[in-house]
Amino acid sequence: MEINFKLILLSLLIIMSSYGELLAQRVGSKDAKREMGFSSDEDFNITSFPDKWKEESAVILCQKHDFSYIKHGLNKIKFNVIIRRRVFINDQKAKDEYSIFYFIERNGENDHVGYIVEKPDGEKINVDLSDAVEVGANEVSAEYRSYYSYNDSYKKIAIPNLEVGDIIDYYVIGSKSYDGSSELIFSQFSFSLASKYPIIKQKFFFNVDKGFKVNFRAFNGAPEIVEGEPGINKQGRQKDKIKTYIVEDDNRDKKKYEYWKSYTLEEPWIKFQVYYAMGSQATKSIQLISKEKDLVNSPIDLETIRKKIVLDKRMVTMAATDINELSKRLRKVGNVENKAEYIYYYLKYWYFKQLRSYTNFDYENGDYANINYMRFANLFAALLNKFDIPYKYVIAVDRDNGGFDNVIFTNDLTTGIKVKSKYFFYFDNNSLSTDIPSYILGTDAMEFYTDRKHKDEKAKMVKIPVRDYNYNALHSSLKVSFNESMDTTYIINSDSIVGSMKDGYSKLVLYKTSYLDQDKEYLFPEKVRKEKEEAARKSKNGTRKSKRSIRETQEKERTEAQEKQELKEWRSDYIIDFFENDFKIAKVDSVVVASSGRLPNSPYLLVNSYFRAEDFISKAGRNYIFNIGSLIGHQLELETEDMKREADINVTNVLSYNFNIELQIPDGYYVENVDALDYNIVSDLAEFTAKATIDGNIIRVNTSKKYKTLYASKDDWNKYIDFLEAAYEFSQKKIIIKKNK
Amino acid sequence: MKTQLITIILVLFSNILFAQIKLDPELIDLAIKMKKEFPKQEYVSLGTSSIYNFSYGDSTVECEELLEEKIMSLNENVTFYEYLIFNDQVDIGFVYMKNYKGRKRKLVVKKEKYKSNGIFYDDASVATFNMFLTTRGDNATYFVETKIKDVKYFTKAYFHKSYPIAEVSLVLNIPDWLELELVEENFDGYDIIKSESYNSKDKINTITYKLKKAEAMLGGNYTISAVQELPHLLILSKSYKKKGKTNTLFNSTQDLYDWYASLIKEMDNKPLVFKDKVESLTADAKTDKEKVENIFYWVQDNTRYIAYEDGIMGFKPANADDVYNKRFGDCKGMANLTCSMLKEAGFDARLTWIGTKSIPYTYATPSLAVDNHMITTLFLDGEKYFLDATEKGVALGQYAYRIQGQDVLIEDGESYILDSVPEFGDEYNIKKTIYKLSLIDDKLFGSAIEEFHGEEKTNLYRSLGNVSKSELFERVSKYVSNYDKSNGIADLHISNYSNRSKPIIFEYKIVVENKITAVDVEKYFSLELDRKFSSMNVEENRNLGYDFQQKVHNYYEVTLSLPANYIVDYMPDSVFIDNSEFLFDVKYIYNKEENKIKYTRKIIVKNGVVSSSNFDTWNGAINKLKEIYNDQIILIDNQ
Repeated sequence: MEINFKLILLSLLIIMSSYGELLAQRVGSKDAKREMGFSSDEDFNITSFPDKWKEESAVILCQKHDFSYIKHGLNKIKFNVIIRRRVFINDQKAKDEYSIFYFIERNGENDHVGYIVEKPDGEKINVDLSDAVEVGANEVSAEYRSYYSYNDSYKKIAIPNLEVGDIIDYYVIGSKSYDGSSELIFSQFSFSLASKYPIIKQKFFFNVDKGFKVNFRAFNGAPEIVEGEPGINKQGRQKDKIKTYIVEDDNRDKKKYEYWKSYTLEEPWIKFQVYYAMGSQATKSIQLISKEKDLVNSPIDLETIRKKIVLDKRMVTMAATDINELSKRLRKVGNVENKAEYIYYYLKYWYFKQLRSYTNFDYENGDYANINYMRFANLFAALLNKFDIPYKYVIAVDRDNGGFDNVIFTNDLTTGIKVKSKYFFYFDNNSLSTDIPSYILGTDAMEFYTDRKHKDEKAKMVKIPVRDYNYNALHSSLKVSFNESMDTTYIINSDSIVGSMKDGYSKLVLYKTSYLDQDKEYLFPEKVRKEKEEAARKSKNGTRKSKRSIRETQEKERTEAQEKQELKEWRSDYIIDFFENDFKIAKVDSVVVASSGRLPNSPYLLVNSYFRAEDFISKAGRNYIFNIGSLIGHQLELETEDMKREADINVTNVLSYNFNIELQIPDGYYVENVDALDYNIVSDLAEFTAKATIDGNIIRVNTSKKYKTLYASKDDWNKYIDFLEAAYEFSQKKIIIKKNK
Repeated sequence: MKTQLITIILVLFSNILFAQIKLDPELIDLAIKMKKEFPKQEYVSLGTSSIYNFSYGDSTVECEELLEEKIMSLNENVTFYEYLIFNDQVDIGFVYMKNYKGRKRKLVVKKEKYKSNGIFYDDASVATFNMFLTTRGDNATYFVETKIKDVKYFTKAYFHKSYPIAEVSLVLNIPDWLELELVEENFDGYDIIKSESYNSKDKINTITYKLKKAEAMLGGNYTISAVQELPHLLILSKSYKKKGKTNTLFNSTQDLYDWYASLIKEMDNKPLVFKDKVESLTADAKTDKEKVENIFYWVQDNTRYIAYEDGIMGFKPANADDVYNKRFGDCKGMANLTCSMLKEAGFDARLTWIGTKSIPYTYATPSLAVDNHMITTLFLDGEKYFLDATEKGVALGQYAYRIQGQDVLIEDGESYILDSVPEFGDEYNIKKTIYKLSLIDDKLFGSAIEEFHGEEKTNLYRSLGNVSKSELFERVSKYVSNYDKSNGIADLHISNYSNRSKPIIFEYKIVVENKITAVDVEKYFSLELDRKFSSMNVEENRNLGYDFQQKVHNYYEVTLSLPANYIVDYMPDSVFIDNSEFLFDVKYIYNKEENKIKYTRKIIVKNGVVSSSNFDTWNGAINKLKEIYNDQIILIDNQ
């Protein structure tokens, strides 16, 4: 969500690269552009900064963003943006960072960018852009590239004579024309006022013509927007109908990074978006704009949100045959919730089938996608309507946005459907109907019927339920033994993963899984059974094969064997990924996905693997040391600076990691230091427990690490420190395997 | 519109069309056989041939290379990529392919600027094309014409590529009027067959080299340069006759120098631009050496290095004032600025050409392939100093590994001076780590000192140079803790960080936790905290040497004082391996009287290179080292 300066720059590059026409009515000749870029603005005379920032690599002395949205005649809209930044170079690192810039040359002109190096004695050196060289797009990092840039040529300029103690002052100007005969929605901006370097002064300036609407909100101590003097029209004249809005911010420390920090809820944050919508168009938009007001800078009422969001009803373009197929199957499904669930899976199957047919999306070979949340809610609602299943529409606020009072963009919200007590939200390749996006768990939501019968009913305010941490769990069962020479560890691992914990793992282990076949079999078991029988019958009765046909079959088999091998190698990454920080995996012998965990009758992703590892065991004379703690994987290492906490704790999801380790003690040996493996750090927020027992020649160690709540106050950080440190300490534990006396 | 439609249809059905190709069954069998032989390869070359023809150009001799190569796929749906580097002296002519049926097809060639680390104003560009092969055994032949505008830029011809080639042939059609000398480099151990034939009608001598079964060139981390190990032809363009007149190309070192000198004469340095700077840098210096240091270090610190190309571009240095104003330049520009500033200060400084360590030739070979770098030679008090301003952090009189021992060609008016840069032993680059620890309550407490000399120091200097002031101590703390939270660091002191002539030193206190396993009366632990070199096994199948880019001398020592009541029950074995390329000397010694354990580990790579012939011994040494690292000391409480 965070947009920094460079991302804004990126937006500019997009603007400039997609349209040849550059620079606005306010900018005429090359000199005028330059003058505007480096306008005589007193704020940009700052040359020093407070002592408290003397150890920083760079200090932003001043930065300004000037956005202008002006009408040109009846149906032409011009958008201009000027960004200027003045940075003090305080060490070698900053010098290196600001020594290179990339930009796009248009029409043989470089006049939309400018760079000045200012020396400590006040001498100003204009960087000669004719020295810029053309570079291949592959050299240009993402922050400077546009989405359409593959064939674009870029220019790269080295800032000459830049030294520590200098100031670099630079600007970028972008412009784009639009057809103003219909609604226009400009980019969303959502960013922290703090940057990776401290900022002495920054200003955001909006110059908007009649018909434009600005949605703006400031959070967490960020300054409010204020209306300024009337703005300037295309002829450069001040006009009352053109409004200006200004946000000014001073003396901003650099951004501080902490684990599980919600930056939108903690950092001084601003969001804004500009729309152009004349008259009745404003009411048609799904954006949260006001018909009456040009500036919205206070909470938007719930009714507006409700009306705007549900406005976007789209027709289901499902073919009649598909509807009939679904209808036939639904007759066999029991209650309303089950019917809704069936429709959910049918919709998912249908959607990805469509995606495969009409795009180059390779669903069966690991491409990953998800349906847009609004499209899902509207498609699903339309299907429920079709089959007379009553439902409520749900609008939830993403947790990082705080609550409805902070909503400004439709993207701040997630929509879904509720049938009886069951929630349904948008899906991806591997979603189950029970999945709820982690970022809306426990957040404010409104529920309401959309049919005419309930049109006068007010929306009901609810909280999206948070499930128990056991719902998002990894259960790993490890059987551990050693080779005869005791230098290799054999591990048979069975992982059972459920809930949101599956997200990362699924993408890795389900690569090249034929999802469509699975979905089809789940939805139409009879049909698939018959198809399989028919294929088997045909194959049995097949005519005698020609030599060529035999050769082709053999070649096909070889290809399949090769693909299988590639798949195995891909899945091996799953194991290596988990342990790579700790140990060298000598060989992954097998990784088998026993259950994909993507169907309602088998929600657990089950993965069985067998691998050998080096370095887990080390020798000590006649005895051996086994790093048993490492079997729970790499644990977070808190550093000294992490011990203090400034922000509240916002965990992504409630989670639990559970390991059941069974270690076979080799014949002729016994084990010591097992008692040291017991831990019991339990609080209401998180816990780490471990218990080890010896049972004959088996050591059993059960560990459990739980994140129990989504939110905790910074005052409770000690509870997190305790359990994280315990888990880390456990991961360092070793047992001694001793030769019998 | 019609063209567009056809294109779309072709794209839509291309898979189907390709899927229906009917290959000769023998080719499929061959592909299967080769897949077994080269399981990691996606494709092989069934043959590559380069034919070199020579013709008169406007003012010199042009060379044309006709490259033809047949690629066969060993997998399904394989894309073969080829990259061709070109620049202002080398043009790419035609590029096309013939498919498995011999039908000619166009190849889309994408040309863009060649990307390499930090290169700015470089002429090099890269042309890329690819061929898609649908099934195992599918094959296609590509044809490329390359034109070299001046034969003196045609310096080498190789046999090997990154994939196996069934047969390589290099054919040089040398006309009578052209004198070329072909030097066969690293041919020993390769069955390369040379044949010659003379066409008396055209007066062309055809020399052919053939190599069957050229292995894939497999490198990895720190790969030695191809010219150091692989067979290749070094091509010396001596002279040519035109209209009865003999024109010298590079017949001798003097010819090479004359050409370089002619480029230098074209420079137009304006020393006035940096006159004041030179004065300010030398004003307070007490000795000549100090003046030189001030200038040399200023150029190092204030001029950004732009990578030079190991190739044939840009032999003319940028003007010194231009480099001074911009504060960046390539090696030639930086050498020119250093040289010009020193001259401005009244010193005898000369531009100097040099080939870095990756080039095995000497100036006895008159070719542009001999060098790839430029430095400055300073004559001071009867001694020569070689100043390479691209080496950040190097002191006057110290030399980077890449130029040590290398031949230099020093400008001297109409003549030249040949010399070489002094070479230092491995101890010049010593990295020393010494811990003094005590065992208290299952933790190791103590102090440490780490010293970085030579190349180790400059490497560290360069990597820390990019750290902000506020991050420096944090970064160094993490580095000395080996990025291990269990190694707590305190009271860190950094010395000589900005003093080029002294080693960088880190001194700190350390507490090692979680490393001691205590059971009853026993304690188990290792004194190996950084496990250096444990992951340096050479990759399987690699056949190109390992070049550490410096001579390595790593010394690590831990002295552990034991509590009075503890005695040593067991200590890991020692390792001692010494051969012409490397030394591993690792040992634990217990001093009973002082009740101290001393662990020392010395690893030396004597010339900075492990040859491919020594890989097995090297991997054996690394495995032995890992055994020691994984082994643990046992102490027993004897009370």
